[in-house]
Amino acid sequence: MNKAQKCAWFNLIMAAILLVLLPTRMLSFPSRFLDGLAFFIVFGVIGLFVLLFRKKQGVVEFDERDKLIHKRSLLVVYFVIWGFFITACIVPYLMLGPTGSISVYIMPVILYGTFIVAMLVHSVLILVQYGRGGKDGQ
Amino acid sequence: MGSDRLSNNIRRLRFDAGEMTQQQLADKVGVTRQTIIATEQGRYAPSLPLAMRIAGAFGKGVEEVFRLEEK
Repeated sequence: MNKAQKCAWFNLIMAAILLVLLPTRMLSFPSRFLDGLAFFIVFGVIGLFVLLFRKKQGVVEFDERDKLIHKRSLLVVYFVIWGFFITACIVPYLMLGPTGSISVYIMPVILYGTFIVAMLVHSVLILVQYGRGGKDGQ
Repeated sequence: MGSDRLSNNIRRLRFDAGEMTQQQLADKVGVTRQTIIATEQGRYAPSLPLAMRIAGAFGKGVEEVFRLEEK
């Protein structure tokens, strides 16, 4: 398993955990600030995870095929983010109508949700593209 | 023109070149072993510079290593 696959697995697990935590924790009124802080800390850990892997001297870890796989994944994630964001904005309007109102707390929830979905999709795409190779494809 | 498939005989050339391993070939051309595996199995079409480096590693021309097959 290469570095990209390890990061993808880690991000997939973190995104799955956050996806479970998001509806259960963020709806609790008293600790919303702490919840937001906790999510930022988690995102920070996710970002720093890449630093845990040291670059091995003299070993190629990221070549043109890796670049192509990441590029394809990012392209799909771009469309997923837009689709999710547009859906999240349109659905409340359709449900509540033009005179309805929602709490502003929904806005960071949409932001977190978009990030989590993007992470999930990106990780799955990375693993699928690397994994389509049978035994020798690692 | 239908969809074409790029086939190769890298595996045979590796064995002919003193049983060169995939890792050795990867180190020689500057890619990962996974890329060499994917290229051998026809799941990845290398870029022209990489194809030329692979062919050069065996002392062959690109057309001797890679073949374009029409589906």
